[in-house]
Amino acid sequence: MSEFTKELERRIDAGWLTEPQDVRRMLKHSAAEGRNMAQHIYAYMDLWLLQESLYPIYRVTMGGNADLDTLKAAANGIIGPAANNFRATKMEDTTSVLYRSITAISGCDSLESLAATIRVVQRFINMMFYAVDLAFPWDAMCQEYSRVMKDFVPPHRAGAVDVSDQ
Amino acid sequence: MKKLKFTFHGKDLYADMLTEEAPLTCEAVEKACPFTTRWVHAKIVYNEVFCPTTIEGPKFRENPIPNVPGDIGFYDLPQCICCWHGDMKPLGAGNVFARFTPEQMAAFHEETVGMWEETGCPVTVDVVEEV
Amino acid sequence: MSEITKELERRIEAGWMVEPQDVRRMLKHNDDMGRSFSQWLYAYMDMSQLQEILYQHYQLCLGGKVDLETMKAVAGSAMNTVASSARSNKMEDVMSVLYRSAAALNGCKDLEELADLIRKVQRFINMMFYAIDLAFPWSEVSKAYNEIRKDFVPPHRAGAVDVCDL
Repeated sequence: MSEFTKELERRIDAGWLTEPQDVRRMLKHSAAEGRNMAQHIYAYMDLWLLQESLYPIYRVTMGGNADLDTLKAAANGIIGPAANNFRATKMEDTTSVLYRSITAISGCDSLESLAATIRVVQRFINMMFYAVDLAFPWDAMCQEYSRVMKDFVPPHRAGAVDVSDQ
Repeated sequence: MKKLKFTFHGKDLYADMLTEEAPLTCEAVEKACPFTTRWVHAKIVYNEVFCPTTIEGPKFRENPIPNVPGDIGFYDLPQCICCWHGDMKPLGAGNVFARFTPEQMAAFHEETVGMWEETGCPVTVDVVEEV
Repeated sequence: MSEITKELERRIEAGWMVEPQDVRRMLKHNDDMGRSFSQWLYAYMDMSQLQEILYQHYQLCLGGKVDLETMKAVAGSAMNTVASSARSNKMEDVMSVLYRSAAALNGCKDLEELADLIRKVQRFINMMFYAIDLAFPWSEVSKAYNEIRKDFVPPHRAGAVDVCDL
Protein backbone atom coordinates (compact mmCIF):
# COMPACT_ATOMS: atom_id res chain seq x y z
CA MET A 1 0.00 0.00 0.00
CA SER A 2 1.47 3.38 -1.01
CA GLU A 3 2.03 6.21 1.47
CA PHE A 4 -0.69 8.18 -0.26
CA THR A 5 -3.19 5.34 0.04
CA LYS A 6 -2.28 4.92 3.73
CA GLU A 7 -2.85 8.63 4.30
CA LEU A 8 -6.26 8.51 2.65
CA GLU A 9 -7.27 5.50 4.74
CA ARG A 10 -6.21 7.40 7.89
CA ARG A 11 -8.22 10.43 6.81
CA ILE A 12 -11.30 8.35 6.02
CA ASP A 13 -11.03 6.73 9.44
CA ALA A 14 -10.51 10.05 11.25
CA GLY A 15 -13.45 11.76 9.57
CA TRP A 16 -15.80 8.81 9.77
CA LEU A 17 -17.67 9.89 12.90
CA THR A 18 -16.15 13.26 13.71
CA GLU A 19 -16.36 16.52 11.76
CA PRO A 20 -13.15 16.93 9.71
CA GLN A 21 -11.24 20.17 10.23
CA ASP A 22 -11.86 21.19 6.63
CA VAL A 23 -15.59 21.36 7.30
CA ARG A 24 -15.11 23.76 10.19
CA ARG A 25 -12.73 25.87 8.10
CA MET A 26 -15.23 26.07 5.29
CA LEU A 27 -18.09 26.99 7.63
CA LYS A 28 -16.08 29.73 9.35
CA HIS A 29 -14.64 31.22 6.20
CA SER A 30 -16.66 33.60 4.14
CA ALA A 31 -15.36 35.45 1.12
CA ALA A 32 -18.28 37.84 1.57
CA GLU A 33 -20.52 38.44 4.55
CA GLY A 34 -23.92 36.81 4.21
CA ARG A 35 -22.85 34.36 1.51
CA ASN A 36 -22.08 31.42 3.81
CA MET A 37 -24.94 29.34 2.47
CA ALA A 38 -23.68 29.63 -1.10
CA GLN A 39 -20.22 28.60 0.07
CA HIS A 40 -21.66 25.60 1.91
CA ILE A 41 -23.69 24.59 -1.15
CA TYR A 42 -20.73 25.00 -3.51
CA ALA A 43 -18.45 22.90 -1.28
CA TYR A 44 -21.17 20.23 -1.19
CA MET A 45 -21.60 20.51 -4.95
CA ASP A 46 -17.87 20.11 -5.67
CA LEU A 47 -17.73 16.98 -3.54
CA TRP A 48 -20.79 15.66 -5.35
CA LEU A 49 -19.11 16.38 -8.67
CA LEU A 50 -16.06 14.32 -7.73
CA GLN A 51 -18.04 11.53 -6.15
CA GLU A 52 -20.32 11.18 -9.14
CA SER A 53 -17.71 11.64 -11.84
CA LEU A 54 -14.90 9.50 -10.43
CA TYR A 55 -17.17 6.52 -9.93
CA PRO A 56 -18.08 6.08 -13.65
CA ILE A 57 -14.39 6.33 -14.55
CA TYR A 58 -13.60 3.75 -11.87
CA ARG A 59 -16.24 1.42 -13.34
CA VAL A 60 -14.87 1.79 -16.87
CA THR A 61 -11.38 1.12 -15.47
CA MET A 62 -12.62 -2.00 -13.70
CA GLY A 63 -14.11 -3.23 -16.98
CA GLY A 64 -10.56 -3.70 -18.26
CA ASN A 65 -11.30 -2.88 -21.90
CA ALA A 66 -10.21 0.74 -21.85
CA ASP A 67 -7.10 2.76 -22.55
CA LEU A 68 -5.01 3.47 -19.42
CA ASP A 69 -3.70 6.89 -20.42
CA THR A 70 -7.14 8.07 -21.56
CA LEU A 71 -8.62 7.12 -18.20
CA LYS A 72 -5.81 8.84 -16.30
CA ALA A 73 -6.41 11.99 -18.33
CA ALA A 74 -10.18 11.80 -17.75
CA ALA A 75 -9.77 11.38 -13.98
CA ASN A 76 -7.17 14.10 -13.60
CA GLY A 77 -9.12 16.44 -15.85
CA ILE A 78 -11.92 16.32 -13.31
CA ILE A 79 -9.81 16.38 -10.14
CA GLY A 80 -7.65 19.39 -11.12
CA PRO A 81 -10.40 22.04 -11.44
CA ALA A 82 -12.20 20.66 -8.38
CA ALA A 83 -9.02 20.93 -6.28
CA ASN A 84 -8.82 24.56 -7.26
CA ASN A 85 -12.41 25.15 -6.14
CA PHE A 86 -11.69 23.74 -2.66
CA ARG A 87 -8.95 26.30 -2.25
CA ALA A 88 -11.62 28.98 -2.65
CA THR A 89 -13.76 27.42 0.08
CA LYS A 90 -10.76 27.07 2.44
CA MET A 91 -10.88 23.27 2.45
CA GLU A 92 -7.12 23.06 2.56
CA ASP A 93 -6.73 19.37 3.40
CA THR A 94 -9.04 18.40 0.55
CA THR A 95 -7.14 20.66 -1.83
CA SER A 96 -3.83 19.09 -0.84
CA VAL A 97 -5.16 15.52 -1.08
CA LEU A 98 -6.60 16.15 -4.52
CA TYR A 99 -3.51 17.77 -5.98
CA ARG A 100 -1.41 14.85 -4.73
CA SER A 101 -3.95 12.37 -6.07
CA ILE A 102 -3.25 13.73 -9.55
CA THR A 103 0.38 12.74 -9.11
CA ALA A 104 -0.62 9.32 -7.76
CA ILE A 105 -2.97 8.69 -10.69
CA SER A 106 -0.32 9.75 -13.20
CA GLY A 107 2.03 7.16 -11.70
CA CYS A 108 -0.34 4.19 -12.11
CA ASP A 109 1.08 1.58 -14.47
CA SER A 110 -1.94 -0.66 -14.91
CA LEU A 111 -5.73 -0.51 -14.99
CA GLU A 112 -5.79 -2.39 -11.66
CA SER A 113 -3.59 0.12 -9.84
CA LEU A 114 -5.53 3.00 -11.43
CA ALA A 115 -8.85 1.54 -10.30
CA ALA A 116 -7.52 1.10 -6.76
CA THR A 117 -6.20 4.69 -6.62
CA ILE A 118 -9.35 6.26 -8.05
CA ARG A 119 -11.47 4.25 -5.65
CA VAL A 120 -9.60 5.30 -2.53
CA VAL A 121 -9.75 8.97 -3.61
CA GLN A 122 -13.44 8.58 -4.31
CA ARG A 123 -13.98 6.98 -0.87
CA PHE A 124 -12.21 9.93 0.78
CA ILE A 125 -14.50 12.26 -1.15
CA ASN A 126 -17.53 10.21 -0.07
CA MET A 127 -16.51 10.71 3.57
CA MET A 128 -16.10 14.47 3.06
CA PHE A 129 -19.44 14.66 1.25
CA TYR A 130 -21.25 13.12 4.21
CA ALA A 131 -19.36 15.37 6.64
CA VAL A 132 -20.40 18.51 4.74
CA ASP A 133 -23.94 17.15 4.47
CA LEU A 134 -24.21 16.63 8.25
CA ALA A 135 -23.13 20.24 8.82
CA PHE A 136 -26.14 21.53 6.88
CA PRO A 137 -29.36 22.25 8.78
CA TRP A 138 -31.60 20.47 6.28
CA ASP A 139 -34.86 20.40 8.18
CA ALA A 140 -34.93 24.09 9.09
CA MET A 141 -33.67 25.09 5.65
CA CYS A 142 -36.35 23.06 3.88
CA GLN A 143 -39.01 24.81 5.94
CA GLU A 144 -37.58 28.26 5.22
CA TYR A 145 -37.21 27.51 1.52
CA SER A 146 -40.83 26.40 1.27
CA ARG A 147 -41.91 29.58 3.05
CA VAL A 148 -39.86 31.86 0.77
CA MET A 149 -40.94 30.05 -2.40
CA LYS A 150 -44.61 30.82 -1.77
CA ASP A 151 -44.07 34.41 -2.92
CA PHE A 152 -41.07 33.95 -5.20
CA VAL A 153 -41.50 34.29 -8.96
CA PRO A 154 -38.34 33.47 -10.97
CA PRO A 155 -37.29 36.27 -13.36
CA HIS A 156 -37.49 33.96 -16.39
CA ARG A 157 -41.04 32.76 -15.73
CA ALA A 158 -42.72 35.51 -17.75
CA GLY A 159 -43.93 33.89 -20.96
CA ALA A 160 -43.09 30.36 -19.81
CA VAL A 161 -45.57 27.61 -20.58
CA ASP A 162 -46.62 25.44 -17.64
CA VAL A 163 -47.30 21.88 -18.72
CA SER A 164 -46.20 20.31 -15.46
CA ASP A 165 -49.69 19.18 -14.46
CA GLN A 166 -50.47 17.57 -17.81
CA MET B 1 -10.91 51.41 -29.76
CA LYS B 2 -13.67 48.83 -29.63
CA LYS B 3 -16.04 48.93 -26.69
CA LEU B 4 -18.05 46.23 -25.01
CA LYS B 5 -21.55 47.58 -24.43
CA PHE B 6 -24.03 46.34 -21.83
CA THR B 7 -27.58 47.66 -22.05
CA PHE B 8 -29.83 47.13 -19.02
CA HIS B 9 -31.92 49.18 -16.61
CA GLY B 10 -32.47 51.52 -19.57
CA LYS B 11 -28.79 52.49 -19.66
CA ASP B 12 -25.81 51.82 -21.93
CA LEU B 13 -22.63 50.92 -20.03
CA TYR B 14 -19.25 50.50 -21.70
CA ALA B 15 -15.87 48.85 -21.17
CA ASP B 16 -12.71 48.82 -23.27
CA MET B 17 -12.02 45.69 -25.33
CA LEU B 18 -8.48 44.34 -24.85
CA THR B 19 -7.95 43.39 -28.50
CA GLU B 20 -4.17 43.15 -28.13
CA GLU B 21 -4.07 41.06 -24.95
CA ALA B 22 -6.92 38.71 -25.91
CA PRO B 23 -7.45 38.94 -29.70
CA LEU B 24 -9.09 35.52 -30.16
CA THR B 25 -11.55 36.03 -27.32
CA CYS B 26 -12.42 39.54 -28.50
CA GLU B 27 -13.04 38.23 -32.01
CA ALA B 28 -15.29 35.43 -30.70
CA VAL B 29 -17.25 37.84 -28.50
CA GLU B 30 -17.76 40.27 -31.37
CA LYS B 31 -18.89 37.47 -33.69
CA ALA B 32 -21.63 36.45 -31.23
CA CYS B 33 -22.88 40.02 -30.65
CA PRO B 34 -25.40 41.49 -30.30
CA PHE B 35 -27.33 39.12 -28.04
CA THR B 36 -29.71 39.36 -25.13
CA THR B 37 -29.24 37.33 -21.99
CA ARG B 38 -29.68 37.70 -18.21
CA TRP B 39 -27.41 38.78 -15.38
CA VAL B 40 -26.74 36.13 -12.78
CA HIS B 41 -25.03 37.03 -9.49
CA ALA B 42 -21.95 35.11 -8.31
CA LYS B 43 -22.57 33.07 -5.20
CA ILE B 44 -19.47 33.17 -3.01
CA VAL B 45 -18.15 36.72 -3.45
CA TYR B 46 -19.53 40.22 -3.56
CA ASN B 47 -19.80 42.33 -6.67
CA GLU B 48 -19.35 39.72 -9.37
CA VAL B 49 -22.03 39.29 -12.00
CA PHE B 50 -21.95 37.11 -15.05
CA CYS B 51 -24.15 36.43 -18.05
CA PRO B 52 -24.54 33.22 -20.07
CA THR B 53 -23.61 33.49 -23.75
CA THR B 54 -23.31 31.32 -26.85
CA ILE B 55 -19.75 32.48 -27.52
CA GLU B 56 -17.38 29.80 -28.78
CA GLY B 57 -14.05 31.27 -27.74
CA PRO B 58 -10.56 29.81 -27.57
CA LYS B 59 -10.25 26.56 -25.63
CA PHE B 60 -7.49 27.95 -23.46
CA ARG B 61 -7.42 31.01 -21.22
CA GLU B 62 -5.86 33.53 -23.52
CA ASN B 63 -5.14 36.23 -20.93
CA PRO B 64 -5.29 34.50 -17.52
CA ILE B 65 -4.01 37.28 -15.30
CA PRO B 66 -5.05 37.50 -11.63
CA ASN B 67 -8.29 39.43 -11.73
CA VAL B 68 -8.90 42.80 -10.15
CA PRO B 69 -12.14 44.78 -9.93
CA GLY B 70 -12.87 46.34 -13.29
CA ASP B 71 -11.78 43.26 -15.26
CA ILE B 72 -14.18 41.42 -17.55
CA GLY B 73 -13.44 37.78 -18.31
CA PHE B 74 -14.79 35.03 -20.50
CA TYR B 75 -15.06 31.45 -19.27
CA ASP B 76 -15.39 28.80 -21.95
CA LEU B 77 -16.76 26.02 -19.73
CA PRO B 78 -19.95 27.78 -18.60
CA GLN B 79 -19.76 30.09 -21.65
CA CYS B 80 -20.22 33.19 -19.53
CA ILE B 81 -18.95 36.75 -19.47
CA CYS B 82 -17.97 37.68 -15.92
CA CYS B 83 -17.63 41.22 -14.53
CA TRP B 84 -15.85 42.15 -11.29
CA HIS B 85 -16.73 45.55 -9.92
CA GLY B 86 -16.52 47.77 -6.86
CA ASP B 87 -14.85 46.71 -3.64
CA MET B 88 -14.23 42.96 -3.82
CA LYS B 89 -11.61 40.25 -4.19
CA PRO B 90 -11.96 38.02 -7.27
CA LEU B 91 -11.17 34.37 -6.59
CA GLY B 92 -8.79 33.60 -9.42
CA ALA B 93 -7.46 34.29 -12.87
CA GLY B 94 -10.09 34.43 -15.57
CA ASN B 95 -9.54 35.05 -19.26
CA VAL B 96 -9.62 38.86 -19.27
CA PHE B 97 -10.73 40.35 -22.59
CA ALA B 98 -12.17 43.72 -21.58
CA ARG B 99 -11.76 46.21 -18.76
CA PHE B 100 -13.73 49.07 -17.24
CA THR B 101 -12.02 52.39 -16.66
CA PRO B 102 -12.56 53.61 -13.05
CA GLU B 103 -15.39 55.85 -14.27
CA GLN B 104 -17.01 53.07 -16.31
CA MET B 105 -16.72 50.69 -13.36
CA ALA B 106 -18.36 53.18 -11.01
CA ALA B 107 -21.34 53.48 -13.37
CA PHE B 108 -21.55 49.69 -13.78
CA HIS B 109 -21.25 49.15 -10.03
CA GLU B 110 -24.14 51.50 -9.36
CA GLU B 111 -26.42 49.47 -11.63
CA THR B 112 -25.34 46.01 -10.49
CA VAL B 113 -24.62 46.35 -6.77
CA GLY B 114 -28.19 45.32 -5.89
CA MET B 115 -28.30 42.28 -8.14
CA TRP B 116 -27.94 39.73 -5.36
CA GLU B 117 -31.53 40.68 -4.57
CA GLU B 118 -32.53 41.20 -8.22
CA THR B 119 -30.89 38.37 -10.12
CA GLY B 120 -31.98 37.55 -13.67
CA CYS B 121 -32.19 41.10 -15.02
CA PRO B 122 -32.18 41.05 -18.88
CA VAL B 123 -29.11 42.57 -20.55
CA THR B 124 -28.15 43.12 -24.18
CA VAL B 125 -24.46 42.72 -25.02
CA ASP B 126 -22.82 44.30 -28.06
CA VAL B 127 -19.45 45.39 -29.39
CA VAL B 128 -19.29 48.90 -30.83
CA GLU B 129 -16.66 51.26 -32.18
CA GLU B 130 -15.74 54.15 -29.90
CA VAL B 131 -17.80 57.23 -30.74
CA MET C 1 -26.27 18.17 -38.51
CA SER C 2 -27.84 15.14 -36.77
CA GLU C 3 -31.40 15.14 -35.41
CA ILE C 4 -30.19 15.14 -31.78
CA THR C 5 -27.89 18.09 -32.52
CA LYS C 6 -30.75 20.03 -34.11
CA GLU C 7 -32.98 19.24 -31.15
CA LEU C 8 -30.34 20.40 -28.67
CA GLU C 9 -29.96 23.70 -30.54
CA ARG C 10 -33.74 24.22 -30.48
CA ARG C 11 -33.88 23.48 -26.75
CA ILE C 12 -30.98 25.84 -25.97
CA GLU C 13 -32.70 28.60 -27.89
CA ALA C 14 -36.09 27.95 -26.27
CA GLY C 15 -34.69 27.98 -22.74
CA TRP C 16 -32.37 30.91 -23.22
CA MET C 17 -34.57 33.65 -21.76
CA VAL C 18 -37.64 31.71 -20.60
CA GLU C 19 -37.90 29.11 -17.81
CA PRO C 20 -37.83 25.62 -19.40
CA GLN C 21 -40.78 23.36 -18.59
CA ASP C 22 -38.52 20.92 -16.77
CA VAL C 23 -37.67 23.57 -14.17
CA ARG C 24 -41.34 24.09 -13.34
CA ARG C 25 -41.91 20.32 -13.21
CA MET C 26 -39.00 19.91 -10.83
CA LEU C 27 -40.14 22.79 -8.60
CA LYS C 28 -43.69 21.47 -8.38
CA HIS C 29 -42.76 17.88 -7.73
CA ASN C 30 -42.57 16.88 -4.03
CA ASP C 31 -44.05 20.24 -3.14
CA ASP C 32 -46.21 18.73 -0.42
CA MET C 33 -43.46 16.71 1.27
CA GLY C 34 -41.48 19.64 2.60
CA ARG C 35 -38.34 18.52 0.79
CA SER C 36 -38.56 20.83 -2.20
CA PHE C 37 -35.30 22.54 -1.24
CA SER C 38 -33.36 19.29 -1.39
CA GLN C 39 -34.86 18.47 -4.74
CA TRP C 40 -33.93 21.87 -6.15
CA LEU C 41 -30.40 21.52 -4.77
CA TYR C 42 -29.85 18.05 -6.22
CA ALA C 43 -31.14 19.12 -9.62
CA TYR C 44 -28.72 22.09 -9.48
CA MET C 45 -25.82 19.87 -8.41
CA ASP C 46 -26.50 17.37 -11.17
CA MET C 47 -26.43 20.06 -13.83
CA SER C 48 -23.28 21.56 -12.33
CA GLN C 49 -21.37 18.29 -12.22
CA LEU C 50 -22.41 17.24 -15.70
CA GLN C 51 -21.42 20.57 -17.24
CA GLU C 52 -17.98 20.25 -15.62
CA ILE C 53 -17.42 16.60 -16.53
CA LEU C 54 -18.55 16.93 -20.10
CA TYR C 55 -16.35 19.95 -20.61
CA GLN C 56 -13.29 18.02 -19.43
CA HIS C 57 -14.18 15.15 -21.74
CA TYR C 58 -14.75 17.60 -24.60
CA GLN C 59 -11.28 19.08 -24.09
CA LEU C 60 -9.66 15.65 -24.07
CA CYS C 61 -11.40 14.80 -27.34
CA LEU C 62 -10.24 18.06 -28.87
CA GLY C 63 -6.69 17.27 -27.77
CA GLY C 64 -6.85 14.23 -30.03
CA LYS C 65 -4.58 11.99 -27.94
CA VAL C 66 -7.22 9.80 -26.31
CA ASP C 67 -8.92 6.58 -27.24
CA LEU C 68 -12.27 7.08 -29.00
CA GLU C 69 -14.09 4.10 -27.48
CA THR C 70 -12.88 4.88 -23.96
CA MET C 71 -14.10 8.46 -24.27
CA LYS C 72 -17.48 7.28 -25.52
CA ALA C 73 -17.72 4.99 -22.49
CA VAL C 74 -16.86 7.62 -19.88
CA ALA C 75 -19.00 10.37 -21.45
CA GLY C 76 -21.93 7.99 -21.93
CA SER C 77 -21.68 6.80 -18.35
CA ALA C 78 -21.76 10.39 -17.06
CA MET C 79 -24.82 11.24 -19.18
CA ASN C 80 -26.72 8.09 -18.23
CA THR C 81 -26.09 8.65 -14.51
CA VAL C 82 -27.55 12.17 -14.61
CA ALA C 83 -30.41 11.03 -16.86
CA SER C 84 -31.41 8.61 -14.14
CA SER C 85 -31.32 11.35 -11.48
CA ALA C 86 -33.31 13.67 -13.75
CA ARG C 87 -36.09 11.09 -13.82
CA SER C 88 -36.41 11.20 -10.04
CA ASN C 89 -36.47 15.02 -10.15
CA LYS C 90 -39.24 14.95 -12.76
CA MET C 91 -37.00 16.68 -15.28
CA GLU C 92 -38.37 14.56 -18.04
CA ASP C 93 -36.97 16.47 -21.00
CA VAL C 94 -33.46 16.41 -19.55
CA MET C 95 -33.78 12.69 -18.89
CA SER C 96 -34.90 12.00 -22.45
CA VAL C 97 -32.25 14.24 -24.03
CA LEU C 98 -29.45 12.67 -22.01
CA TYR C 99 -30.42 9.07 -22.65
CA ARG C 100 -30.69 9.78 -26.38
CA SER C 101 -27.44 11.76 -26.43
CA ALA C 102 -25.61 8.93 -24.67
CA ALA C 103 -26.91 6.56 -27.34
CA ALA C 104 -25.87 8.98 -30.09
CA LEU C 105 -22.27 8.98 -28.81
CA ASN C 106 -21.93 5.42 -30.10
CA GLY C 107 -22.42 6.64 -33.65
CA CYS C 108 -19.50 9.08 -33.55
CA LYS C 109 -16.81 7.98 -35.99
CA ASP C 110 -13.90 10.04 -34.74
CA LEU C 111 -12.80 12.25 -31.84
CA GLU C 112 -13.79 15.41 -33.69
CA GLU C 113 -17.35 14.25 -34.13
CA LEU C 114 -17.46 13.07 -30.52
CA ALA C 115 -16.15 16.45 -29.31
CA ASP C 116 -18.88 18.28 -31.25
CA LEU C 117 -21.66 16.17 -29.76
CA ILE C 118 -20.31 16.34 -26.20
CA ARG C 119 -20.01 20.13 -26.46
CA LYS C 120 -23.57 20.43 -27.72
CA VAL C 121 -24.91 18.40 -24.81
CA GLN C 122 -22.72 20.39 -22.43
CA ARG C 123 -24.15 23.67 -23.79
CA PHE C 124 -27.68 22.36 -23.25
CA ILE C 125 -26.73 21.46 -19.67
CA ASN C 126 -25.21 24.95 -19.20
CA MET C 127 -28.55 26.45 -20.21
CA MET C 128 -30.41 24.21 -17.76
CA PHE C 129 -27.93 25.05 -14.98
CA TYR C 130 -28.56 28.77 -15.39
CA ALA C 131 -32.32 28.21 -15.59
CA ILE C 132 -32.29 26.28 -12.29
CA ASP C 133 -30.05 28.89 -10.69
CA LEU C 134 -32.47 31.68 -11.62
CA ALA C 135 -35.35 29.72 -10.06
CA PHE C 136 -33.75 29.96 -6.60
CA PRO C 137 -34.32 32.93 -4.24
CA TRP C 138 -30.64 33.17 -3.25
CA SER C 139 -30.84 36.35 -1.24
CA GLU C 140 -33.83 35.40 0.94
CA VAL C 141 -32.75 31.83 1.58
CA SER C 142 -29.20 32.96 2.44
CA LYS C 143 -30.61 35.23 5.14
CA ALA C 144 -32.59 32.32 6.55
CA TYR C 145 -29.47 30.11 6.53
CA ASN C 146 -27.49 32.68 8.52
CA GLU C 147 -30.23 32.84 11.16
CA ILE C 148 -30.56 29.06 11.39
CA ARG C 149 -26.79 28.54 11.61
CA LYS C 150 -26.56 30.66 14.76
CA ASP C 151 -28.07 27.87 16.85
CA PHE C 152 -27.17 24.84 14.77
CA VAL C 153 -24.51 22.43 16.04
CA PRO C 154 -23.66 19.63 13.57
CA PRO C 155 -24.15 16.16 15.07
CA HIS C 156 -20.55 15.15 14.30
CA ARG C 157 -18.92 18.13 16.05
CA ALA C 158 -18.61 16.43 19.44
CA GLY C 159 -14.94 15.61 19.89
CA ALA C 160 -13.86 17.46 16.75
CA VAL C 161 -10.69 19.55 16.94
CA ASP C 162 -10.94 23.14 15.79
CA VAL C 163 -7.68 24.32 14.29
CA CYS C 164 -9.11 26.68 11.76
CA ASP C 165 -8.13 29.86 13.63
CA LEU C 166 -4.53 28.75 14.12
